[in-house]
Amino acid sequence: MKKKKSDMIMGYSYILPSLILICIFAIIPIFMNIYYSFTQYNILTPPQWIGLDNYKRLFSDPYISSSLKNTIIFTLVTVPVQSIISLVIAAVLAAQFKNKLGEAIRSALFIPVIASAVLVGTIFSLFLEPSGLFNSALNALHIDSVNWLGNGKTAMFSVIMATIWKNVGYFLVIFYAGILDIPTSFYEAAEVDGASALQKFVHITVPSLSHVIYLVITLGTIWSFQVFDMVYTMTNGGPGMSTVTLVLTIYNSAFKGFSMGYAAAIALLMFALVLIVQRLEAKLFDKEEK
Amino acid sequence: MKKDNVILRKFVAAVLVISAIAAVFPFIYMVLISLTQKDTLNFDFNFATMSLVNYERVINNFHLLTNLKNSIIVTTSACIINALFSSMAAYAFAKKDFPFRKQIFAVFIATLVIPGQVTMIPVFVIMRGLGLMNTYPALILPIVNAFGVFLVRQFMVSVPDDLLDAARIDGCGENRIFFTVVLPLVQPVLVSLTIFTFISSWNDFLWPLVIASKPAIKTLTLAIASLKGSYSTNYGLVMAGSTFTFIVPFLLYVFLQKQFVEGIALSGIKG
Amino acid sequence: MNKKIVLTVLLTAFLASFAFASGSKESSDTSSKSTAKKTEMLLWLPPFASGDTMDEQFWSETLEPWEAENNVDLSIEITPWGGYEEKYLTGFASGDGPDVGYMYMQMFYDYIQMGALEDLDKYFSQEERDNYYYYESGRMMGGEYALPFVVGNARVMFVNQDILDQAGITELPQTWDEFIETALTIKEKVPGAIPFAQSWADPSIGILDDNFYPYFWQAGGKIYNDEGTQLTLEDNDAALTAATFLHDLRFKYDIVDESQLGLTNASDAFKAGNVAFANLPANKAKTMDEAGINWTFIPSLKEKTEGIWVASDALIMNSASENKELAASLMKYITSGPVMTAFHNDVSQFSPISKDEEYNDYPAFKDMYSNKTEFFHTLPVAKASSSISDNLSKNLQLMMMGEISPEEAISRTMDYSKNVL
Repeated sequence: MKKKKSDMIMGYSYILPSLILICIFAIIPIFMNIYYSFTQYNILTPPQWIGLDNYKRLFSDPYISSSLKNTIIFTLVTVPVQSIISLVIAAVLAAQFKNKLGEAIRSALFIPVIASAVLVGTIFSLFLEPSGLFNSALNALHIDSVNWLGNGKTAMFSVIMATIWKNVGYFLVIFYAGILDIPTSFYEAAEVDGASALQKFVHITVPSLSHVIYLVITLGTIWSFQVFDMVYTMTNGGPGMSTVTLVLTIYNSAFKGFSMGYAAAIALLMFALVLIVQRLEAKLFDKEEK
Repeated sequence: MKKDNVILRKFVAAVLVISAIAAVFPFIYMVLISLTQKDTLNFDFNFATMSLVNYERVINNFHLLTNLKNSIIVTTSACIINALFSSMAAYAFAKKDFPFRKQIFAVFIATLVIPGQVTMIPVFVIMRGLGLMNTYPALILPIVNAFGVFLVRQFMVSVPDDLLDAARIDGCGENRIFFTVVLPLVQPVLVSLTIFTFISSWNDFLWPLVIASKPAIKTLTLAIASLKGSYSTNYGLVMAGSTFTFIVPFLLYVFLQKQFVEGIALSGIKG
Repeated sequence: MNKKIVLTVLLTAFLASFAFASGSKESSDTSSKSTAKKTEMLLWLPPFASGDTMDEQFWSETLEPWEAENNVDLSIEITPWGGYEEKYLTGFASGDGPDVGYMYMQMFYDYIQMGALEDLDKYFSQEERDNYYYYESGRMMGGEYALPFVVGNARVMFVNQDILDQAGITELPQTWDEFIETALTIKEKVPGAIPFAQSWADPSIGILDDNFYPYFWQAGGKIYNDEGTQLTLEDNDAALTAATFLHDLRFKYDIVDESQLGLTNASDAFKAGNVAFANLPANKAKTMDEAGINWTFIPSLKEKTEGIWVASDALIMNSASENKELAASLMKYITSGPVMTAFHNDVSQFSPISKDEEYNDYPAFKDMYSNKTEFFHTLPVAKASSSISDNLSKNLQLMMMGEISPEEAISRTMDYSKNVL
């Protein structure tokens, strides 16, 4: 009896700090956001109710359609590519290179992860300048220089490239740990059956990692939808609208367009999309959570 | 057969080594450029003329030391607060029974889905209302989120109740039990959480961009962005600023590499 | 035991950091030289220096006498061009904005609407107003909200005389057609040269000032209606003519080629010496001299008429300032003859703004600034000017990349403007 009461008191008091912060910084803001999305708000003067105007604007705004298109393309390319590359490298390292070399390679590949996206974006911007390192290297191979960040088609590709380069090391670590967890007996049995490395990979490694693959893909998707730092630093949405993304548009609407209400509407749109994609991915991996 | 395998193995090793170099090379190049005054980005390096002058300028004219101080204060505080609050809440959810425990936890988890950009503007307005713009708390507090609670709780669950009961029988107060018995037991996950918090708050960009307009409070990540924005053609200068920002997480990684990797692996397996 | 110590240390550090936190709210510079309480004020200016002089140094030294005389502790912040508008918005929103700041035309509409800027008329006597050349240019939306500060810096057509000589061209082109002919001749006769450099990859709205508006005005266009509430790009065919001209330069005549589309800085290209023509700000003149370029310039080409983009950036006073009289005094000091002379000589060349100042701008432009003023255009103060400019510049970029036609570029901008206005 006494324990129950003291349990209760302690329980509530121990969750209180987190609870307060989460209320203030996550829960209340969601509701505020919903409210703002129905207003015209420029932060210096009080919000004015405008009903559904912001939502109507969503449908005819070319920045929104570009943002959606670009963010989706970005996600559809980045997530599979970075997941596959990190998975393959992890598998190869776990199978053939459980030695100092393998360790060194994993360490090296992880270094881009600890740099900020702004830092990576800055370095890549310099590399990709018309007279920058990439083109110097291409020229040495007798290939013409490419206008990486000035050309609509290659700009998005450049941002994707920089993002994948940065993320591979992180997922590599996760996959590697996951593979180490797979009982070696599985592989030994397959070896006895005469399975090749590729077969072992496809029929043992991948299925055993389904939980981890799900994590990697979900995490990667969320990160991709939120892409901002890289784009802001490398291209700022240009050239044209080829690299305009959802978060960039939210930011520009709020802080350059004096339309916090509109930005709130876009943010809610993005939130809805993330939830939908999450649902789809959960279904795909059969991980329905009631 | 075997010979093919050896050649294949060497080929694969070569590919891997090349990719490892590709991962590291840009940073090496960054440091090299930061020591020069070059106009063009190529491979001509005159080692004789290299100097630290860009670093001098970056510190004297651009107040990068202030930014460094701010980044350190914000990141360290965030790590400590997050670890403390998250483990407290995790302990309560895992070991204490109280009304609505399940429901409150579900709400915590639900907030994990909310992207930061969705809450950015309301939090900005809240900060302004609280008079906290351009202050350290404004930069530190929003970093605390439910992820830490989620992560630590996974480990809290496996803390043996017998141990706790034994401590109680010994006359230990509940709070004391938490600090002296429980926390040490979940140390690995706390380290893991701290590393996550460290990396994400050191490199945080959008939120500081929005809330920290005064130079006195700006963090390093903001500093390099504006350095690049205003002086993009002064490669040496921009790279010096970038190196400066990168040094701290890099040194931490070099010394705590094992913990970094374990931390991320842990979250992958349990998550 | 060890763990207890560690925990205690951590908790202490955590508490200490909070002590830090409350301390950080105060401003970082404290001057404790005089015993009298100094008024604290904040000045925001953008960077103008090219690299040898540092802006902050110049202003601190130059404004020190004013500070001393008025017993003010003046904090000077050089606000970078990147994220400029956001900084102003968050600054004003948080109440941490400057007493005196600097805005360009696209920013004014919303700030005036929000009541964020102070009307300056009451702080300037008639005599003081008459002393300025451009005081009346700062009158907008019913009040004097801007004190013109950087005026001029016309965008003119810089010409590399050496390349023209090599191509055997003796006369500078005066019309669009002559320009195309000249550029084609250069393309033929001087293979290594770039006939015309335009920075199409620059993501800022400034590219319109260099690449589009001059031609738009030369074709007889007007950007907004008089009230500044409607975009009037389709009222006549000027926008289409100008856009088509630019489009043709790339796709019809191949004068502007693919490499231009990656150019973010046409002046760097011109400085390198192999560019024949480039639309550049007049204040690049000194830079080109220092780089040893043998250059001349054409103030404006002619289509229907001539048209020259000139800046009219201004100092503003924050209506939330607690020291308005002092702010006005600071503005007068900054724009005074001696300070402006020093600024134009040491930091960046611009036209004189008051009668107290000699013409310290680049000598070659003096004639233009005296005699071509009828063709000068400044950007209008209008609603959503910044977003619409951004949209227009992006659409023109798409056009130059060949993804949309000139007609589409204009119509999309018009549609967007209806969306926003």
